Amino acid sequence: MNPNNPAVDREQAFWKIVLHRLELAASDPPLSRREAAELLAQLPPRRGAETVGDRIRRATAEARLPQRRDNVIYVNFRPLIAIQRLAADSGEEAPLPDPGRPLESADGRFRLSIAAVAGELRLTLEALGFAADDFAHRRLGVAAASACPASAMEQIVPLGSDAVIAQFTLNADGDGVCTLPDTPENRRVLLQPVIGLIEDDG
Amino acid sequence: MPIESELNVTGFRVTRTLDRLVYDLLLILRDTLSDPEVDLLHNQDDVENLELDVLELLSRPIYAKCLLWRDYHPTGETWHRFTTPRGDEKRVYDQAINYFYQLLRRPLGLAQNRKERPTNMHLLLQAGCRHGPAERGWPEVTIRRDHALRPGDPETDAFARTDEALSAQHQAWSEALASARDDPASTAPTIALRRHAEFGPLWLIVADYVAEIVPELSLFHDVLRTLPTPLPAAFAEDAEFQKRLQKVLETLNERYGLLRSCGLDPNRWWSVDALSVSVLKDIKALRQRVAQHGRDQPDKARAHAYETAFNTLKGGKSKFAGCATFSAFMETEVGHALLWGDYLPLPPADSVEDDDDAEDASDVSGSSPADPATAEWTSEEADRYIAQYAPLADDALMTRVVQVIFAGHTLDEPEILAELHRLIDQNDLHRRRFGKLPDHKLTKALCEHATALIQRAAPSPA
Repeated sequence: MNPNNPAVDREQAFWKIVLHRLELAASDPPLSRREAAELLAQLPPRRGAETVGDRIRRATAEARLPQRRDNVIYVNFRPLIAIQRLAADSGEEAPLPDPGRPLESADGRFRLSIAAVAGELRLTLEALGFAADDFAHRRLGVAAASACPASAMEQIVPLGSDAVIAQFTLNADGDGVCTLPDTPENRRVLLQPVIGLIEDDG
Repeated sequence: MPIESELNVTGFRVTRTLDRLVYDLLLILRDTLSDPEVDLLHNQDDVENLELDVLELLSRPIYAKCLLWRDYHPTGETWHRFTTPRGDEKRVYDQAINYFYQLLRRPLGLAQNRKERPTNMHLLLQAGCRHGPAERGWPEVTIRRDHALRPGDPETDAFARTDEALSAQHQAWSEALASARDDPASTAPTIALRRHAEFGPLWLIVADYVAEIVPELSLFHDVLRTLPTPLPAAFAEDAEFQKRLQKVLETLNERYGLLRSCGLDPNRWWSVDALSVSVLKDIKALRQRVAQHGRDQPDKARAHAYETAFNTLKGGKSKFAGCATFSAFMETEVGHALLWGDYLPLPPADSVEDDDDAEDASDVSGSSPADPATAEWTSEEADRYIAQYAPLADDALMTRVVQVIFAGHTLDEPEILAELHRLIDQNDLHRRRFGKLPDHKLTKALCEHATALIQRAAPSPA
């Protein structure tokens, strides 16, 4: 507001409202049923109980995936949750989390502990609570968040086997351990890891 | 009938973005529900076609900016792009998907103060059903509570489709109740259950046909599947249907808008027990008060500003934002997130409307709530501003367009359209510019011309 001239402010506010209402009135009508049907035909076929919203998101996720290369072995990776880590200003390029403070997923289903031992990274994945029963004896993996867009969560993403840096078969308690080389690439993936289910083709 | 054909709006005024959404939904529903080929009850392709139409609509700039605008979190914006066979690019905004499935498909809960009255969603259904075939009694349909009524089935299969839709809703309602009983964290629709016990079930009554109807209905698709389609296109111009649709959208949108205004992500809807509408309104007021004193304060100063604002707003009341003290508020998840968390920013300072301030739409007895923006100017004052505004001086057509739009009317109302045609014919320049346009293009061209005139003026009011 302009305290020196409230009358001018008032008039300007009036014209601002007028312009907004003119913008509303000038907006185009919705698509006709025929136009909507044309757009619907651009979506991938429906899977099971998918909504049209799910299909739109899947179309985008599939379009973003890198093209398959012939000489790479792919795994069907179903991303479940990304773990957000707070950046620690330790001066290292890709620091590991404090060994005494395992990472926990925001949904409380997983805990991931990382320890550097003699040139290797030892990863322990624990499924917690009900998730322990859900994922017991299942194969899970850890991949980079950059390989799994947020819109691809819970959907199968074919990833090159090198993109899934760790694979675990959880035991009856929902726990699994995996060891991998302590390389800058693996450490970078662990800055924002995504935990996912590895599903068989069949 | 082409989707852009005129729609006479008498049940509400188009003054806010939400009103325009009601208008556009009326166009979509007219196109869908009057088509004898469409079967929303049995044909999933028809359902998806309708949903995609609404999603594309919600993704238009006017809605992305003014209805879903609170989603300007820098990392949260996603657009899905498609190219039609004709080469047009269409976009669907990810937040539009959330808005549709989280909000527009949500059953409308029963408000505490409705006592024995049905919800606006039931009254919307009733208004739509009254356009069903007269020979079967649809124009006299009623929806009301009654302890004594029992289901009645005439010896005809004329209502088999209605029966099928209502049965499916009953099954879904029973399953939801059962899961609420099994899950202690889930909140059962206690008001609906209490009203059912006090005043009896809700009944849909069409002549001899009497069937129980669930207490909480969704627009997409409980109501649409129950309507006796195909309906005559005139149903969309029924003032009662229009008014109920507007009330329904206001109620559904209220919580979304408040969550946004409080900086919370509406993708997490929160239960009413955890975060009631009145608590949300308090938190919104708190944020606005702190924002008046600067947004980017250091942590300590910000905490102090919140505490001062909390205590001022609480005044002599026993609680504010659901808490007796500021420290108790800070111990809540929302309080902590508000001060220290990754909350969404406040609305931009130049926002011209506040569409989360819906009136309690459960109150249907009174007239439509006055639009707060309109209420700030008397019609005499508005007419004076318009008459004195140089770019519109001596231009009767543009003056009238601005008057009509400011008053919340649409240019395709028959009397208004006739008047505009008359004014166009009286002016050679306007006749050359607008004279040959079909009506649906004329209204858009007039609004765009008026906008250009106002924006060109210096100093710009925009």
